[in-house]
Parts: sequence; structure tokens; C-alpha cells
Amino acid sequence: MLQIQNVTKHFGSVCAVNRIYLEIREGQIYGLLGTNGAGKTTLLRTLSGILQPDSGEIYVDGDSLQDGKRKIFYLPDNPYYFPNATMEQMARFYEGQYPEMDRESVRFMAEALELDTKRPLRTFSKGMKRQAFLILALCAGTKYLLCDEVLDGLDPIVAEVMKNLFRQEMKERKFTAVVASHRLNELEDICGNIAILHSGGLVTAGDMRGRSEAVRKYQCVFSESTDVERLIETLKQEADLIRAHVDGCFVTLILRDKEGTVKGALWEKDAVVVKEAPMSLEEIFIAEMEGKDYDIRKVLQQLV
Amino acid sequence: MTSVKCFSSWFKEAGRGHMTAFLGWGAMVLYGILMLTRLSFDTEYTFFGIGNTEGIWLCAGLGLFFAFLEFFYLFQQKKQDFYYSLPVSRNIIFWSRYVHGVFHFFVPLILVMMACGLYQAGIDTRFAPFSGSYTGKSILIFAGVFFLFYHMGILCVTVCGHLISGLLVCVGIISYFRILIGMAFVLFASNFFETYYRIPLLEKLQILLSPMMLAKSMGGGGLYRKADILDFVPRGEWIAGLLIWIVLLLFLFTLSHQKRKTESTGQVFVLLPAERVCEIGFAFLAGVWTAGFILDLSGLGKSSRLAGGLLGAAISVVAAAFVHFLLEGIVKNPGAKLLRRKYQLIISCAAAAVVGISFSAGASSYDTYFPEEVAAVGISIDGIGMNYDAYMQAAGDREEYETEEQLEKYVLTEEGRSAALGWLRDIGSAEDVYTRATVCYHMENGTRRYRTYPLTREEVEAFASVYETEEYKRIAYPVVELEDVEENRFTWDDGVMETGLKLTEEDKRALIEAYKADVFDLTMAELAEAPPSGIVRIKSAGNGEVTEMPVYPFFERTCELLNETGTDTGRTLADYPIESVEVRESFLGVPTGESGRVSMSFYEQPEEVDEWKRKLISYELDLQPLLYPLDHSKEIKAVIEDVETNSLIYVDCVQRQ
Repeated sequence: MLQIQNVTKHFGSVCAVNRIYLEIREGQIYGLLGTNGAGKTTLLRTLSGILQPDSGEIYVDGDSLQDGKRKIFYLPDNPYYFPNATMEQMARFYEGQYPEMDRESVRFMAEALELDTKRPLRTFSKGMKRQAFLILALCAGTKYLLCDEVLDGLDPIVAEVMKNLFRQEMKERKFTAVVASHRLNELEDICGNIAILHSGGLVTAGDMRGRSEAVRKYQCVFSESTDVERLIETLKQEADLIRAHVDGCFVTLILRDKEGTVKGALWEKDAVVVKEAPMSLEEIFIAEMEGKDYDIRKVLQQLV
Repeated sequence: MTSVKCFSSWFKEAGRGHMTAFLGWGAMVLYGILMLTRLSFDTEYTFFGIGNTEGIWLCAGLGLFFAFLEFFYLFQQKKQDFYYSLPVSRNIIFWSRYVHGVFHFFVPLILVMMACGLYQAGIDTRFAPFSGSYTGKSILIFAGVFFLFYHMGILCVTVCGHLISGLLVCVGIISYFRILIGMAFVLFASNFFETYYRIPLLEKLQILLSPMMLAKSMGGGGLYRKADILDFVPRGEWIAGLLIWIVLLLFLFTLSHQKRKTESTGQVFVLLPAERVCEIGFAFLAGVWTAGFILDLSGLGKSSRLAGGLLGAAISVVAAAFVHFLLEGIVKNPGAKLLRRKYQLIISCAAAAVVGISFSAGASSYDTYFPEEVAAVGISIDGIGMNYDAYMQAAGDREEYETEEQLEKYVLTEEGRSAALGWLRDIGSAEDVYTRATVCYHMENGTRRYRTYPLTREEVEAFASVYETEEYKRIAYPVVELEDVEENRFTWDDGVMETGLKLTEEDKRALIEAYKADVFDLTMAELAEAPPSGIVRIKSAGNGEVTEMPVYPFFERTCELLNETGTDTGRTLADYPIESVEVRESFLGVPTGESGRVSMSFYEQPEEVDEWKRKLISYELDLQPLLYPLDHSKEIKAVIEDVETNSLIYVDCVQRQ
């Protein structure tokens, strides 16, 4: 488990990471979401030991970061490689640093993705470089993989390929990936847990989907004779309504309804159509943050 | 992985790209080939180690280059992120690169030096006995110079976040004390101190604090005689200075590497203390240097010490403040106040002002200094004991070679010292300056203090009390110290022709004895009566050194003896069959817009030649330019017919005044 305790990092007068507490458990892909300048990269660079925190502690499986560093692989958005180095040469270099490095797997995965391991990396396209380094990172055999904006700017096919690489690796061994991104849709289909950072601070973190089990989203159509405004007022009193969007006869409701009883009540209130719809991560965040005195919408507007 | 294995793996990693290895081996092998080639032609003036300044600069250059090359990753954010994210300590990355740089300097250095040493020992029998010690000393000295510059370069890289600032700081460290002491302080001293000649303490500090000068001194820079170079051992103070530099820089760059923050890469400085020290240092230097420069231009320091001191302090403060704000503008973050470091500004300005005032305040005691007790006095008077050319260089061009030579030569320790101190007590307030005397007081504790005093004609005449001491004459006329001259070769040069003297061993001894007697009877006033008749040159049969023996017409015993042995000491230029006289005149004072011109006159008529004959003296015999001044306003050549060889002899001449 990666434990981040009260970590603060300043760059001159700018507070890049502000008193962050976070626990990242093993065996999951953990998303770090935030706008540019939110502190994602700083947090990842601090976690990987590149930056020294001004205050706070980081523990890797209970050990200090210094002792646990060999369990961490940091993959930046624009990774460094030696001039003229090929994927094979980089794999050989990493083998010297990470004893668990599996060069055979590198060859196998590269072949599967049609990447030439003997070609200089400088001749690769951006997407190919990303794939190549993700392969190297996954094959390094470390317990923790810290990825910074690795999916950013990739076309949907390459992005999907990379996500599949993560999924495949998750199936094969128990490892933890922390993936930072400024786009929510990049993370929502691979990350179980997500932390949102904003202006260096942690807005919220955890398993959003798990927490949203009690929250449901209903899309309803009412007859024209129904007084929708009044109906919503009633629902606010009778049920735990979080959000309501009205467009003529069409109404979208998000509310806390663990037992699913509200659906029946809606039928009783002259609904013509009632359909429970899956919630997007954005909606879950909004539901989660509702009432926490934090304008999550503003943050999310920048992330989607 | 054990730390030894890890270190070894990173040592190999440091060699990726092979730039350091290529440069180190390439430069050293090239140097070796060049030296071996030169040694195959000349072993007398070719030195592959000590005495070879190019070798010293090569080591210094490699030291700096390796430092920037090995630790260049500290300027590269991306590369640092890559290295520091790996499960390896920063110290291992850093020190493996350090050792890598040292390795690729040392191994080729040792091999090349040994190859050169063995080769020269094989072909040069004079070098062979010294081959081991010379090669060993050279390796140690070259290595010391390398470490000095290597550590300096590493310090610059570790305290700076940008290549340009790193290079600038490096140039700053190399030239700082050379500028501060050798230029700024010297400007102040020469402007405020009327009797300033040189201050050994400042010179010593300049060598010890200026890495280039220290390196050059350690490498025997300035030496050219093979015997001196083979025996050369750097002074203890230089060795101590070099070691202190190396250790201090090592300590500082280790500390700065520990304190260095990754995120500061790209900034001018990565460490605040380094930024502050550099700012204070540069602002102070700029203040002092500017003030010294303006004082030198205005000449105010010489005319009014108080006004000069105040002006110097004011200029120092203004210039220091200006540079402080300039540097702050470069290093501060946008939005930060320019006046954020008030105390730093005050320190820079105050230090610069103190320097400006202290030279002015100390000028009086400096100029009136007179030691009561000295071990010896070294003395040099422009125009005494030097020929016309040397006099012109010393007095006109203010060249110091001749003065320095005389100060080393005319060191009086016995009755000459007492006489000199007595004479020096009464001089120094000259208004009508005739010439200058430069004095070196050798103190009892081994230190030296130099002063230069203006002299009037009367004061020069009063110098007779020193000149006429036996101690002074023994130095001024080294022939009196010659012994065992029987095998030596004697020649007579009357300014026109040089002829061999056919003297028996007895005659030679007698001639020296006669000369001694004449010299000891000589008074300084006599030197103003006539120029020398000629010069006897004595070439040693032992080492080939030539000792000159100027013979004046009033050296009766010497002249008599020479005449007896067939040399006509009375023969002057006028006694030669002069065919013509060529006179070249330069007119420099021409109207604005016109260049100076030269005119040549040829005098061939017998009556014209006769007239010139009486006025001319051979240029070579102008040995007392101060006591017996001659007219050098024209360049004159006398064309003499040599009847024996049926050829013409051109003799450079000057006119009697």
C-alpha cells in the first residue's frame, strides 16, 4: 500500500501539493484526476522520489520511500530515453535497475503491438513511444506503477490498446497503477478508485462507483398534464433528491434510493416512462460532493 | 544489488556515449604524440611535464570540460527525473560519474607521461637521471591542476540550474581574484600610493586565489632553463593553496549536491546561499573595479587623496548598487520586489566603499614607511647600471624586467646596506624628478617590501655614497669576483670591432687585478666624465658564460696593461676610416591630419664626415645613460671601411651632447 501522509510541496511561493493524505491499496488502478496545475505530476514525482516533500511522509508497504523505491516505476508523460536507444537497449538498462524486469515479455508484448524493439525510439511516433514505455514499465515487474498523463493526446484506438495492456497486466499479477490524467473520460473505464486534485489540494478520493450504489439515476417522461415543478418539490420532501433536470415532460432525477423504491413511486405519480440509467463518473462525483460545501461542478467542468 | 555492484554498474552507465573517454584519451594521446615528435627534434627546450604551460592548460581545460560533461544531467530536468525515479541513490549516480571523469583523465595521463619520460630518458642522457622524479612530479602536478578545475566545474554545475549561469559562475571564479587583486586593488594602490611599486602580499594572494595563476605557477610557468625545470619543486605555499582549493571545492560541491533541489533545475541558481554569495561578490567587485578605473582615468587619487578617497567610495557604492539591482533583476522571480534584499545590498556597497576609503586613508603611512631594521636592501635606479635600451624600457615604457633584475642583483647586506639606508632616509620628496629609484627592503622575517622613490639630480649624485661602497661595486662590476681566468677567452670590443686578446695566463690574472684596483678606486662622479673606451668580454672556459668588463679611460691601470699587450684603448670611432654617415630623423610633431615623416641624410664629404666623427660614439658604449647622457634624437649609422676584408662596417652611433 502506498501511504501519503500530510504531504506538502512548494515551488517557491506556489503551493503545488497541499497537505495531502491518501492511501492507495494494492491491486487496483487508481486514478488521479485534476486540471493542469492541480498537483498531479508533482504528487507523482514526489511519490517516485524525484522531489523531496517539504513536509509529510510517504510509505511504501510500510517502509520509507527510500527503502521502497525499488517497488515503484515512474512513467512520465514524455519519458526520457538515451540518444539512439532502442526498446531492447532500454529494457536492458531497466534490467540493471529492476531485477524483476522481464525482457522476454517486452519482446512478446512489443511483437503483439507491432513495435520493433530494434528500432531507435526516436523514430517512433508519440503513440508508439507511449506504448513502448508502457510495455517497459509493465514488464519492469514493480509492484507500483506511477503513470503521468500516459493516455493524453492518443487516438482512441491506441488509448484502448494501452488500457487493455493495463487490464491484462492486472489479470496476470497483483500490481497497483496510479494513473494521472486531466480527463475524466480517460480514467472512468479503467479506474476503480479516483482522487480529484485541485489547486494542490485533495478534493475527494475513493471508490466512487461503490459509493454510488445507493444513488440512482432515473430518466422519466410525464404526461403533459403533470405539474412537474410540484412533483419535484414533493420528491425533495419524500426522497433524498440530489439533482433534477427538467426539459418539458422529460425529467432526469438523481437521488439516494438504496432499495429502489422510488421507481414505484414515480409510476404512481403518473409517469409515462421510468427508466433507470447508468450514472457517469461525473454524476457520481457530483452526487458524492453534494452538500460538502465544494463546488465540484466547476472543477469537473474543466475535466470533461 | 550491493552498493559496489551498483556503483560499478553506474560507472559503466556514466560512460554511455563515450564522450568523456573520447575526449580524455583523444586529448592525451594527441598531446603525447605532439610531445614525442617535439622531443625527437629538441630535448633542451621541450618539456612534456613541468615547464610545459600547454600541458597545464590542457589539464585545466579537461577538468572543466569533464565537469560539465559528466554532470550535465543536473541541467536537464527530464534526465534528472529519469535517473532520480530509478531505485538508485543520487549519491551513487553522482560519485560514479565523478570517478568516471577522474578515471578517463588519470589513466591516459599516466600512460602518456610514462611514454614521454621513457622516450626522453632513452635519447637524452642529461634527462635520464631525472626521468623518474620529473615524470612523477609532472603527473602529480598535472593531476592537481586537473582536480582544481574539475572540482571547480562540478561546484558551478551543482550550484547553478542552467548551463549559461554555470559557465558564467565558472568564469567568475577563475577570474574573480585576478581582477579584484591584480586590477582593482593595484589600480587603487598605484593611484593613492606615491611610492607604490608592488605589494608582495597582494601578489602572493593573487597567485593563491587565482586558479589559472596557481596552476601556471605549479607547472613551473616562466621557467625555461632545463636545469631549473628538472629540479623544479612547487613552493610549499602553492602546494598548500592547491590542496586547500581542491578540498574546499570538494566540500562545497558535496554539500551543494546534497542540498540541491531537483525542481530548481532551469533557474539561474539552485541554492540560495550560492545566489547570495555570488551577488554580493560580483556587486562588490564591480564597485571596486569601476571606482579604481575611474580614479585611474581622472588621476584624482594622486592629486588629492581625500577627494580621491571620497570619490572612490561614492563610485564604489553606486556601481555596487547598480550591479546588485541588475543581478536581482535577473535572478528574482517575476513580481518579487527589487529591494527585497536590503542587507545584501548594504553589505556589497559598504564593502566596496570601505576598500575605496581604506586605500586613501592608508596612503600616508604607506608612503612614509621606512624600516629601521632590514636584513638587506635591493636597489635599482633607472639609468644606473643599465644601458640606454634598458633605461628606456625602465623609465620610458615602465617595463619592470630590468628593474626586477637589478633588484635581485643589487642586494646589499653589509656596508652597502647601511649606506643605502642612510641615502634612502634623505630622499623621496623630489619635485623636479630626474629619475626613480626602486627599493626592495628584505625584512628580518623573510618578507619583502617594495617602494619606488622619485629622485632629483642631487639625490642621484648623493647615491655616490652607496655606489662607492665595495659591496655595491662587487655587484656592479662582477669581473672583480672572477677567479681562475687563465683558461678563459678575452676579447676587446671598442664599439666598432671585436678582437681577441692575445694574453698569457699571467696577463689575464694581472688584467683582472688591475681592473679590480681601478674599480675600487672609481668614484661615481668619474662616470660622468667620459664614456667607456671599450668592453673586455671574458668567456668562461667552464660554462661559456660571458662576463663584461667595461673599461673607462680613467681606468689607468687597466688601460696601461691593455696597451702593453697590444690593445689600443685610446682608439675611438673617430680613428676609424669612416666613409660616410647616415642620419635618419623622425618628425612626429606634424600638423593634425598629417602622418609623421622620416628624413634620411647622407654625409659623404670628408669635411662633413670629420665634423660628425668628433661627435659620434658607438651606441654599444652608451652604458651610463643617466650619468653620461648622450643624444639619441637621431638614428645615426657610421659606414666604416674595413681595409683588411675590403668590406663596409655599419656602426650604430649616438651623438655627444
